[in-house]
Amino acid sequence: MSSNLTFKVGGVHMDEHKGLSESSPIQRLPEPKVVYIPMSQHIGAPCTPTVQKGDRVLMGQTVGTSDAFISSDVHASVSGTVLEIKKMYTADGRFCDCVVIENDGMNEAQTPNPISNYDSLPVDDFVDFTKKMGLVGMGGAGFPLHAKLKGQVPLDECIINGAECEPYLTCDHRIMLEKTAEILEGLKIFANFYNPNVSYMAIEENKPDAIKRMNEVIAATPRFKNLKVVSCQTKYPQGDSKRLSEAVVGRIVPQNGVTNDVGVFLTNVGTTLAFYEAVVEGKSSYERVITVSGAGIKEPKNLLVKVGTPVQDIIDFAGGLNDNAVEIVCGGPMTGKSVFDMQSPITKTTSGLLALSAEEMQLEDESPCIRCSRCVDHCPAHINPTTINSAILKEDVEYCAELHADQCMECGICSFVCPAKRTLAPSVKLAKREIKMQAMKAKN
Amino acid sequence: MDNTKQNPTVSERFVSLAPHVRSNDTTQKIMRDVIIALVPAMAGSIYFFGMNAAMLMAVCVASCVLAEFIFQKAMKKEVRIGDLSAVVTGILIAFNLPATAPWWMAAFGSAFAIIVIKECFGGIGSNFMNPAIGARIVIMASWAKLMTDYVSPEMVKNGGQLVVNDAWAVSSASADAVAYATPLGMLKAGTYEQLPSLMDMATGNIGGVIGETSAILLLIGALYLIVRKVMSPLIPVVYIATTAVVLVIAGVPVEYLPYHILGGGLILGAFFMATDYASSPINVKGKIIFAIGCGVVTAVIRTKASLPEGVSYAIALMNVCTPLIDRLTRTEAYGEAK
Repeated sequence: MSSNLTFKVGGVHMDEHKGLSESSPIQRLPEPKVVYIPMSQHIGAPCTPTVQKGDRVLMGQTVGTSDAFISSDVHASVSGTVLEIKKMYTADGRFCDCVVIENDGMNEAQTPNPISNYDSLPVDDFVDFTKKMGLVGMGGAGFPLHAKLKGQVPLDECIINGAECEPYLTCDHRIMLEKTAEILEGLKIFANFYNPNVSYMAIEENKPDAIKRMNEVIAATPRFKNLKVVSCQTKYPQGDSKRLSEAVVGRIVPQNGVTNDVGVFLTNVGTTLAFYEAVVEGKSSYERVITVSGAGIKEPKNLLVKVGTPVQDIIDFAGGLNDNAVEIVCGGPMTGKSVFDMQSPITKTTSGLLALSAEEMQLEDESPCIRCSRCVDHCPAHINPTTINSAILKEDVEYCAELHADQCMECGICSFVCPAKRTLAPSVKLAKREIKMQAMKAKN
Repeated sequence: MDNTKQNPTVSERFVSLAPHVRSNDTTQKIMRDVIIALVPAMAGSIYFFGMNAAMLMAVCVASCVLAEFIFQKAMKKEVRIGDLSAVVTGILIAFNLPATAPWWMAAFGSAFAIIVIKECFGGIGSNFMNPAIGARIVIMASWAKLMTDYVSPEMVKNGGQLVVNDAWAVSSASADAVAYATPLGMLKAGTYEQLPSLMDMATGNIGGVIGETSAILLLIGALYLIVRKVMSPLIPVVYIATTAVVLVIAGVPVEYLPYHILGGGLILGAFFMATDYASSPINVKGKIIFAIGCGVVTAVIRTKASLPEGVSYAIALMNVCTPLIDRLTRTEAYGEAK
């Protein structure tokens, strides 16, 4: 087994805080009374609702679709009646149409339509299916899976991302322990498409039990003999697709590219599980495992939650908030978004809900940059956050472009390591957006 | 009264941009670590040079902090003396003074460093030169005689020569009678037979300015900073290695290299002044160029110029080159076509 794999540029090892929830087995969240199914749960075009107020819907039924290629269907996560369709914020701060469904509690599901002979079919037969089943990257970005299945360049390496490098999050860890065979079966199907000789399950070394369990199942199943577990150094952002591609197969993704451009098919472990459930069980993507954690949560847990469940329901089930909870974050602490409306629903890409205390956040006022160069030393994009910060404060967008601000991967490391507590990450993101705007203006 | 309270669906939650967690490092903690790292050498200087060394350190630290406080108050800027950077500067300035230095010279150098070199250029992080180096150079240029009246620990122990109030009198007396030739001075003069033992040089039992003599105590502090990841050994190691190589090229016999490395301000300068965050380059490549530059200039001054010592000028010169080096060593972003 290869171990200690990693990427070369930047990165940081931080307090993991995974102990809060990593040993807590996945529990199912009790049925929510009402779910709000967001029409935008992924990168690309939002869906248009296919149901109307008053319609009765079944669990797993399509409630939103789009003709755009970069988009993916959305489904009802409960059975019940459509109360209304209204615009609201999702937990990760998108503002979009949401189909509001009153749960009748019967969980009456649509007839599943699995693919029975999946071992012998070519990848083309999965593209439409995957789009209809609503499969998107569940690691955070939410890139529609079907758009990844076929690349411009022939894909010849296949990696499943079980790195889970953000602090606090343990949902991927738990599914790797509890759904090992299912995930490996999902990887096996991908391996059929891309690399029947060796396909990789990449896991960070801070999850030795998951690595062990994966190896055990592989050893016990002759069918999985072409699957290989590789362990990666525990270092943020190991779970970023480009860094993981470099770590596992040594292929460096060019700027503005994706792993598909270097022949690597790479997707998250949660997506792989959802893919397995869609192909083998015929279940569309309407629920997921999330981590509820942070010092501000009474009972940190890993929960199987239906998409569209309001944040409040989830927090309540985890015992509610402690008095020290300052902020609720949707996703990981490094890249997640602040939750400002407790009724906002979670989406397919929500990996966690964290209630953070002031102590964990280390909130402090900005002070002048002391040029300690930590942001530069740890930047995985190999850019210079502090110089970009001072350039964008002077509104010098051109200089920001010269400094490659557009190559920022938004990992948040620069802000994290800054001893002067400067808000580097948001300012680099701003620079990135300004560069894009200027390029668009120049085009028109 | 409060609008948000009337709308039960919108809670009054704290909202911020990612990342939502920060490391627990702060500027103040970094400066505190540097001060801790300087404690062994501070103790050593008091042991070797007596209470006058303690007095000089106290004067320098007090003047630095006070100068920063007064300047920031007068300019209606936020008072930042709490970040402890002025304390670090004060200690380093004291380290660059001979034990005989009068208190007013120490105070002048400190105020100059903080006001002219640091605050006038924008305060912490914006200084173009290490303030302590600036102070050393300006005092050296103004009172060269007082600055080179080195005493050896032996002389301090023998007493008499060094009384605080008499410092002025001592230095204005016949220089040859009291001043101690430093090992670098002996190397320059070719009087190798008078050189102290290497052991004395490493422990600091030699003459010189108060903070630079004990290589071992300085290195203990440097090691602490490296372990705490406050400082990377890159600049000091490259600096010292370059100095050694260039000295050999310039004809210094290899057996005297240890004297060059242990003598003078090389260890102090390389580990505690060249590594100053604000005035050294920001990229690894830039840091290497900077350190090589420091090494070359130091060695050239020591062998070819009329001065026995060159560390402070070397660092000052390279500090001024830092913006240029930064510009020339800009990083290429990840994944750039090769």
